[in-house]
Amino acid sequence: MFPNSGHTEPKESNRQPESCMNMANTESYFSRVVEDVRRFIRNPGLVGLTALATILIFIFIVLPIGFVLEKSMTVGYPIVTIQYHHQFSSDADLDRKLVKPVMTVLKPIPGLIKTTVIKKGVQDASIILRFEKRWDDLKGLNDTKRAILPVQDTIAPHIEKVRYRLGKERVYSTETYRDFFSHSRYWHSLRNSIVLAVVSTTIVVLMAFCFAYVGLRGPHWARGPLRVLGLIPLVAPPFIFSLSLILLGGRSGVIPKLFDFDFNIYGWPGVIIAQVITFLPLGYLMIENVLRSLGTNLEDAAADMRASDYNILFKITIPLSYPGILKAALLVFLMAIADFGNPMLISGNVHFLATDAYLYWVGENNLEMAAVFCVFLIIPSMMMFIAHEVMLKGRSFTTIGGKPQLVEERSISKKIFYPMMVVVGPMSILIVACFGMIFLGAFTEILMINNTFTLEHFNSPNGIRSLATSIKFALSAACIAPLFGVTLSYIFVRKRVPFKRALEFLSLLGFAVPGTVMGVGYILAFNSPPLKLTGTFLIMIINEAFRNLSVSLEAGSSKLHQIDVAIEEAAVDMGASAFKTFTKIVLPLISSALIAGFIYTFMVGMIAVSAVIFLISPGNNLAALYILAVAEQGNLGMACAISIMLIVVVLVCLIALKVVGKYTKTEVY
Amino acid sequence: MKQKGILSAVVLVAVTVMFLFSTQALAADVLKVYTHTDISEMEKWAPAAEKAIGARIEWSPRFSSNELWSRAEAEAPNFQADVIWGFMNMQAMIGAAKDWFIAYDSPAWKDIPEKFKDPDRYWYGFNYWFAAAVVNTDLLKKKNLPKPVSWTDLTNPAYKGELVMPNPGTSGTAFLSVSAMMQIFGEEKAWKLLDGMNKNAGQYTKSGSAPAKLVANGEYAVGVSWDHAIYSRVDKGFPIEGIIPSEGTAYDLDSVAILKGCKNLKAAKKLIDWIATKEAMELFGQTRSKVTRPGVKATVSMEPKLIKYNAVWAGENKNRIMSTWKEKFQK
Repeated sequence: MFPNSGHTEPKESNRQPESCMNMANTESYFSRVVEDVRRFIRNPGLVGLTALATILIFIFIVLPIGFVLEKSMTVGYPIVTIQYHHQFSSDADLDRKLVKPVMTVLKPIPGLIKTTVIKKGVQDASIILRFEKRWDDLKGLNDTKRAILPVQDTIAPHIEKVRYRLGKERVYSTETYRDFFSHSRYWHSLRNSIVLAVVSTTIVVLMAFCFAYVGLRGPHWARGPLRVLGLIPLVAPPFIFSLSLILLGGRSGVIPKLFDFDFNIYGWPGVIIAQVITFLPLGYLMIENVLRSLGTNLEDAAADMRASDYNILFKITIPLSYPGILKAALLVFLMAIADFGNPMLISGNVHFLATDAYLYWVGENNLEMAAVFCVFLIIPSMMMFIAHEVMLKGRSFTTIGGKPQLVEERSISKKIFYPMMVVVGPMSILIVACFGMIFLGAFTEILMINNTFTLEHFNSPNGIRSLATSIKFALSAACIAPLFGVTLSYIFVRKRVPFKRALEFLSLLGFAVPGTVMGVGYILAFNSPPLKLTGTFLIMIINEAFRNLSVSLEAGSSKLHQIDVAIEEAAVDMGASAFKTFTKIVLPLISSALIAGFIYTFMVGMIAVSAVIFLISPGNNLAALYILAVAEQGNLGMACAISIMLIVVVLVCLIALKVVGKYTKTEVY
Repeated sequence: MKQKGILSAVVLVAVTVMFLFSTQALAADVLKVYTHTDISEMEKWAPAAEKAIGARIEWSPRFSSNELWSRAEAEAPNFQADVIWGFMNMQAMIGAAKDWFIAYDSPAWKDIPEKFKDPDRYWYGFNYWFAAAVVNTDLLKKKNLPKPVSWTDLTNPAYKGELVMPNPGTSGTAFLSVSAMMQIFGEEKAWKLLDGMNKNAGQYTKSGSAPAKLVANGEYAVGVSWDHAIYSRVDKGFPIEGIIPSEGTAYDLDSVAILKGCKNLKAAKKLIDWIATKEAMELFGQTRSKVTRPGVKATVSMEPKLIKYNAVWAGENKNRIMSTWKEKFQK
């Protein structure tokens, strides 16, 4: 009659008042941890699941970052090894007739730092030459061969076999960091990236606020269009606006040609404008969300007390919107500093961290310096992340009491409307212009030079193949991430797991850390057995899924907080196992979080660039990267054409999801 | 519950479709190729090769020469690709010295002169290309600029802001021209010339083809690029002209090699055999200036003043020259 459920957790975990923690001192903290662990161990299913989750998070998020950190503290030296298989009978003979003469001729070789002699067994001896850090290894090898020539005849009769090999010796050292700070061309990238992120964030937050405010409170004719404009940049690959800005304002762009003046969009202006347009929707979503849930009662009360419009705005509305504004600022900052596509296309001769990390790897095979760049990408991201957690935890911002308020809608004051429109208006025109450029670019031969209509740019079999791969890729990642993320959120919210906070932080790490870092980390971590995954499709999917885990996690968490735990307790009381409770009760209730995670991961997967550029291999080409490659070669028409196809695909999927949602009556978005 | 049923059905379908796609890829006979060849050329060469070797060719999305090389170096010895079809000769020599290739003595190559083949048969050269300058004649006229005829002319301050060049850090073309200048003028004078050119440079592009495109589009008046990128656009009717500097320029032997760990050795060998055939060479000749099979016509009939380029020297001094270049010109 009474089912044997060892489940006492659900009852207690949510009832534990937070104030208990305040009274904790070290002793009771430890005893609580011990109690947690004991209770935890009693539930094998939970243990298994958590163990699995921990292992996965560790392998696919922590390990790559660890590798990056390690790589940043190593230095590689080119090594030339001469392996002799000789016929000397005694050690003394070997030393006198082979080692000494060879060492003498080797000494004056330029770039040589150290020579070591290794004797293995009776007939094998190796001489290892270590050269300076960035010495041309071919030069080292050829110099060695040339140096040996004079003594070749004297040693030849005793040598059965000789073999020259090139290699690399890795040593721990902070030399790369020292190099970073001693050459301005390195740390300028750090400075530029931070300045860029701060500037872009500030402008985006300002714009997003204006868009959201007018979009919610402004005249009705403006609301719909502004909402669309604020969100539409989301459907396009993030660097598409660099492309359109180049078409608009590049050296042979529309604006210079039409108005006949020299104008260079490359560099700071281009990157900032492109980033502002790209990240506006993110800011808009956050701020609109918080503004929407703001009851107007406080503002109305203030108006009744004859506060001026500006006072209301700056002293009530904005402070109440802090959570949304801060969230927006954090998100945009993280994205701006990690942005790869825009700087790649339009930064001209200004250097930024994310692109430079790639270029230093690719340009001089300096993975060590790339790793150092990655470390400097992680630090500001981590700081912002922690600041956000610290600033927002434990402060209450709600004004809604749960009851709907019947309020006469106040029309937006002219004193606020007009200044905001000054900000919103030109921005809207710019966004429309950018999309317009893409269309024009795709359908004309060469914009502004040969304006004949053509469909040829769409004829790119490889481009279409890359689109198909992108869809496969995004779908796969989108199937994994929400399931894993939501399961994790359930464990974190409902269950008492020791070191929960640490685990939660680690899983969010995948998102906070810029894509470049994860890209480099994955190459370092998974290029050799036992986990040789590079070159496969799988590694790209895993990378994308784990990077976007946190969105599903957050969505699941917030939804779970809204659901009363009593429902699950009822299920348990009626004999349902934990697993059944989860699959039959919890999952359906938070299905909107699952779907939100799916949509987000899919959309982000379609336009992924910064991490996957390190991981693509022949046959696994992604559309966004293909567009980048084509654009860099100067073929802007084809880049626009493939971009349009990409946008169409994303729109189709979004519409399909909305249809499915309507049909199954699940609230999609 | 109906909605859960539909949702899970949709998910199931999606997952199945995905798996179908991926298993299909595994089943087919595939050859993975790294290349620095232009996308527009590969889109013609790959299908032709596929027909000849009977396997599907999956090629990398057009890395620039150095990107390709850095990727290979990072992956060695567990390469992700089977073959490198299209990389610089200097890189081929380095790769052979590092023991990255599988030797294959192809019978199809016996008619091709020895100087285009590795003595140990680790690599083969199938066409050669040279670095050249390009000008937009319309822009020159509009801005009243003289037409440059030599490397030295490119340092003329009149071209300030009008010169676009590829970045030797990523582009093989750029490194070819830089190292060629070193060999023509000697290092000291070459650095002075590069300094002058740097003062005129409006932008450095990642790929060697981009300057030709930008000059053709009228974004810059003068550029440094390579022959195919320039002459293919002359043919298309752009107002541009290719300039072979009077002091001479260097050519590079575009090479092909089989990577260690190649998973489809049969197809790789067939590919190398096919590259030497007259049909393949004629296909390459449609876009490249010179091919290595004697008697096959290519795009450039005149003999540009090509210096005797020392690829070994270039390979031995690559890092040093590039570091110095970055020290001087990349702020």
